[in-house]
Amino acid sequence: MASTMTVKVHPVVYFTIVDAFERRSNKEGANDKALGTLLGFYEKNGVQVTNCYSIPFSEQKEEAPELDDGYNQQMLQMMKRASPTEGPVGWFYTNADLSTHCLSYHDYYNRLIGEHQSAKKETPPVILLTVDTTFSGPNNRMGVRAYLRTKAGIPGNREPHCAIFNPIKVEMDAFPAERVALELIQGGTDSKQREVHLQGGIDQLTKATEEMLVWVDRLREYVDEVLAGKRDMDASMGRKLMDLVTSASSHMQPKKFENVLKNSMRDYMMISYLAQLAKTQLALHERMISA
Amino acid sequence: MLAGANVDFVQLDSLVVMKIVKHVETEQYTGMSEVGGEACQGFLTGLVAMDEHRLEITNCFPTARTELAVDDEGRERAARDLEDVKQAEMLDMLRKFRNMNIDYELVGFYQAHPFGACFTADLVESLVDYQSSVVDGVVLIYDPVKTRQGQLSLRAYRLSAKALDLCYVDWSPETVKQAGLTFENMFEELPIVIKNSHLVNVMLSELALSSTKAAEPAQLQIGAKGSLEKCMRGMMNHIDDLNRSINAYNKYAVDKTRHDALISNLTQKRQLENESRRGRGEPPLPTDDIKKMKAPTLQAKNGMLECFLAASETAAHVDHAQEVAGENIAKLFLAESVAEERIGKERSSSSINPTCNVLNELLAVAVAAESNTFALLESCGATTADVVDLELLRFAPMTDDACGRRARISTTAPPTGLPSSNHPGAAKIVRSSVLLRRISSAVAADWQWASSALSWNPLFVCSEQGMCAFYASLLTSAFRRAAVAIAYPPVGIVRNAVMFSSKRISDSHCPLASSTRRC
Repeated sequence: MASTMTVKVHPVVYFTIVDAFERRSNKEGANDKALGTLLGFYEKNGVQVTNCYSIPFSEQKEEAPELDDGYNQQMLQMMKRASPTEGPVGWFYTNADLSTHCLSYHDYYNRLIGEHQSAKKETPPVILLTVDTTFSGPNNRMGVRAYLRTKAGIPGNREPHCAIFNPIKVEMDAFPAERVALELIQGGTDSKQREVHLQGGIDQLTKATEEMLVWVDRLREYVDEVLAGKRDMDASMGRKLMDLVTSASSHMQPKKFENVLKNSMRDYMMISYLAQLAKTQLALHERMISA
Repeated sequence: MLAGANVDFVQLDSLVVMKIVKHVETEQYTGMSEVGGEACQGFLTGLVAMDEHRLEITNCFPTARTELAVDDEGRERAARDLEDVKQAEMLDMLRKFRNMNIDYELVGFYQAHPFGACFTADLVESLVDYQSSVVDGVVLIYDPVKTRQGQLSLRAYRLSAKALDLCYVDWSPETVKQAGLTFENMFEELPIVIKNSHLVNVMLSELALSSTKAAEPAQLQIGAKGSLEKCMRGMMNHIDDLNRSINAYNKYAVDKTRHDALISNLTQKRQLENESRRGRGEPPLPTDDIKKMKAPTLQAKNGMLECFLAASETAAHVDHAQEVAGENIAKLFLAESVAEERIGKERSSSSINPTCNVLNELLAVAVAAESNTFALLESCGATTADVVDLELLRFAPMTDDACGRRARISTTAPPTGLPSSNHPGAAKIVRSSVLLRRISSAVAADWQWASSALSWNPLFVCSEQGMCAFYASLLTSAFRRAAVAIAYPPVGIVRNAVMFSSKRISDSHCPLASSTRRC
């Protein structure tokens, strides 16, 4: 069961982890990593990780890494009060690989989550999320992985022989509004100053239509190539195109469509007229007071 | 007195944006904001870059929800304790931030308000609190409604220096007039820039690479009817409030002039009397009793503040309504141009020239690919054009009507001077967006005209209060009538129509599929 589990990570978690890593201590002997608690909730065959925070820890002593349990507990309390639906589901670590410390950290979080889920008998699975902020993985990419620890050994033995961190699937998930915000922020990757300005609605609409045109052009190109025999036929692509065609031309009677169009247009016109009226009144009101 | 504010704009860390959005979104998800009854809010931390006149907000945290007490006693106690607890928690959190090297200077707070209508007496009070301790304190207002519609809406406000000064004195009409304060310059809005760190940019690219399913662009969806209706309702309520406060002000103004006239009358009389008394060698009468006469007061709790807040709330609703309505008109134009595209296709069946049409080509390839090879088609003796014609036959019954419409459209609005003429759909889209811009700018111009008319119209310049009030009431009654009679029913009708059309769209998949199998 466990290996089919999916970890759904919300964007705010990534942002917090990156921020935590950027704000790691630069003092002598401090760790070059960030570690913290993941918050979220369990669902059928998966975990939603919706929030997280970092905690102080120390790996100076090789065999006994330390975590600030008091800090963690207090933070947990506070987060719980701000959003009661979230509970601890695991922990994050900014490292490309799993180190020997992970075992003791994981034990700690197992205990912690066990305490917090006292109503249920069984301890739910504890997630370990690693973000490779040092780009030491293959292709120099910032890899994101999630693990579940499973015990391994000969069945029937009381003490398992070893523990394995099994990689599980990570997906990004977001609430609709989060998606909108993320899309806007993503614009910062194209800007030299790494800045984004908030956009007006009409600008956005123009941009969307322009994008649409680009895509239509690209599709045309593809279709032309297929028609000219330069490119192989692809049934799945064809089906998608078909979907596109059927959805693009709404199969509505033109008359009906015209009616709908006219009516909603009238509605919107009315609304903007009313808004205008209200604005006039505001201006009047201002004259009255300052006259 | 306070030193002036130093910052000209607000720089938000992308983390802050995401955190605020997430906080509000979870609250709505769990329905907490309805239970709790108060706006979702939290604190902002960051630092002030004095040299660049910039306020950097680098982190934030939500405030804890108040625990709901069951009985009255508990509620009272909770209210008493709440402030202390909140304060303690905030300080605790700031300490924790310091521990983790996060900026721990408090620079303001954030709140979520639908339609961005945040202007309440509470907000003013909190802002006064903040701005007296942190000179550059701001409030960030997040609008969840607009964001759900595909446009992230965050605004940074602070009280202007004038308004802040008045908060320490009072809000009586005289002081307000003297300060030259209006509802427009009461709050200052600061421009917002969102900044990503390098590592965040890397992470964003990584996310863009790994995400497989493209999100449906929310900004292209038609149908903000529900929220617009709510917005209109809110707007009407606030207009009512506004009128109430204007009436109170008018009453005050009338009383005031009457009172002033009375006083000056009495003083003059007394002076004459005193002169005659002096002539007779009698001692003059004192004028104290006249001065002691009670001056009328404005019948409102917070003086003019109430008026200003109602006006600001209305303005926020108006802006929202106008913007969303404008956008939706734009989207309708888009939808129309896409639909016209189909009509164009129908027409081309009579002139048999399928190659000039994007959708036709898409259709052809789709059909061909569906039956997997051209060879199969060719073995039946069919060519691409034939397949297309087959498809087009299905549309035949509609064609006549469509042609008429098409002709009419092309005579009324000739698409001139636009790129890619072999690309009618594209041209239409461009055209409608151009048209849209024209409409929106026309609307803006209209409004500008209205406001400038107000300023030069002699009626208004030398206006008497009564005249103005008459106009205002005229406008309100027109507004109400129009709103009640016209706005509401069609909103419902159109919603039904849209639902109907979407149903039609899903139904129409079936005949197309069967016809595909045929060929």
